[in-house]
Amino acid sequence: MKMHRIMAVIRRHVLTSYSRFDRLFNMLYWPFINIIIWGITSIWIQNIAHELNLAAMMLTGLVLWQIVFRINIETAKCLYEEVLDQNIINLFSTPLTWAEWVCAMLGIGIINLFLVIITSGATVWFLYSISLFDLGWSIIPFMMCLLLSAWFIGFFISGLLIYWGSKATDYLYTIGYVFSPFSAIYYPVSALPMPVQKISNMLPTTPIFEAMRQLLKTGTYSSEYLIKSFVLNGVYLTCSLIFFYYMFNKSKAKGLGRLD
Amino acid sequence: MKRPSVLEVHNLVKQFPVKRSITSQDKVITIVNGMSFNLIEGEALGVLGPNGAGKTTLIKMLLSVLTPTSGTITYFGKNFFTHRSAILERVSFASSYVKLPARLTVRTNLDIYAQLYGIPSQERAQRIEKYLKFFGMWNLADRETGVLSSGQMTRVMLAKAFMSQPKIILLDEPTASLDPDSALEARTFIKEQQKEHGIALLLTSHTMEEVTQICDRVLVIKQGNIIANDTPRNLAFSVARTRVIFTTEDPSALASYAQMQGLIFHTSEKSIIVEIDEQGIAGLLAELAVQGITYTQIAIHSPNLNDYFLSIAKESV
Repeated sequence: MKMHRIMAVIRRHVLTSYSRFDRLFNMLYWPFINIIIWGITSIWIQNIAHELNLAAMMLTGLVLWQIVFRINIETAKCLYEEVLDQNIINLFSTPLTWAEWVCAMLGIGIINLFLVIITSGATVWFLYSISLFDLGWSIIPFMMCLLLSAWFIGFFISGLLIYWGSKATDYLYTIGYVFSPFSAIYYPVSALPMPVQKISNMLPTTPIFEAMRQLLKTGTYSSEYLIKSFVLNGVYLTCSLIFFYYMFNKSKAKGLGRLD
Repeated sequence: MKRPSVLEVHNLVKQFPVKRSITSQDKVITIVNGMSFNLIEGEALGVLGPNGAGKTTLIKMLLSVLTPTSGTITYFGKNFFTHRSAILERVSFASSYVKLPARLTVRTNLDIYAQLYGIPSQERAQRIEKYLKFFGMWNLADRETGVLSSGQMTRVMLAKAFMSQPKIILLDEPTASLDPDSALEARTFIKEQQKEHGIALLLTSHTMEEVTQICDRVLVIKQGNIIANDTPRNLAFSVARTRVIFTTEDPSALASYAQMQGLIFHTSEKSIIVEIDEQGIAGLLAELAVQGITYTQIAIHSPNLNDYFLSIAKESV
């Protein structure tokens, strides 16, 4: 594995993403709109239900969810851009390996994590005076777990894109959404119907939002939530990478050139 | 001293399954059917064949963007499937049918590709300038790649391929979208660079002139099989002889002489075409002078790869 090749891929996508207003706008626009809508809604509910911390819980959940939602899209979108640019043959006929591509995506994920947290966190603080730092140092493991979740979804979608190319475009924008109702972002798992709770408990995102709510309510949280999330993320990310690698090779058997 | 092979392909096969229907069994189509050949260090090898012969499929397998069904590919004595990354550091590729990221500038694109090949930053800038200047693209260095014409894109792709100073370059119809002037310029550049740096070239093309100008040897492929492997000249002469075209007011005297000598000839109202080996031309002209047979004009047409290509195309019909 060569660092210069990983850096070249990161550079290519960072330059494409952050030097383009439309791409940057798209990355920041929806979180901003969501924050405004959910912020007003949660403050209104908080006032009529006299539920302390409701707005903080909902908005902190929303900001943390942006990590999963935006980064999974951005991870898969890098591959999608290569398909759109008809650059797949060029790229994979260089010494670049699949593993180096994956490492580059991990690097881009970390860059996007900072971007999402800084912009969404600042918006919430500026509009509603709610600070993510109220979570204390716990924000770091929370963010790491959610980043792992974003990667596993992103690499799963990458597996679909490398095989089906632009035919899989719809999955790029929709698969992340599938996880949102089950992840208990804005409500506790107990609020879900019993059969759905079973699905919810199998996701690595759920324990993080449960821990977040517990922390904001009581000032502390059970470390079991973090352990569960890390273990589940490890399993899902491994499966997702195996799937992506399998689809990459399956696609090579048909020819990566057909995607261009 | 005999130059070593830098690429050896042995019994390469590529088959694709074709789904027919739920009830019938899947069918398999064979695009590359057991090809074996080698590419010698510093050699320019052309791959010729009609559409669908398997040229592009072959190139894709040689680049590892398509997995062969069976067979082996060996570069520099190493198995391609187990040493892919190390091998591709010394192999590059250009095609007029693939593109580069549209939103990045020409300079940035080339810089990123140079980085993928591990060229140090300072050297990258120098090489980009050198190759873009050669192709008359220096003034477009900061233009987004997406707005380039197909001819300009082809030049950028060629710059990309040569910039990493590889030992082998695979070119898939590299001048297909260039006008005749630029195509000639590009071919001259390819040949010069190849000779200067001892690069081995594998080139597919539909332009016989290009293959003749650049290639030392040609593989002719048809329906996934190599049907000929020879120099462009030998291939051309294998299907046709030199034609001497005499223009004359009265072709009958020349026709009688040709018949008497047992030569192959075709006549029309004011000309006669005699098919003859190249070495026999001087003797024929001398004998015509002795016999007092006159003509107003003479043209000599040597067979070329076009004749060869047309002959194999005819066989297909």
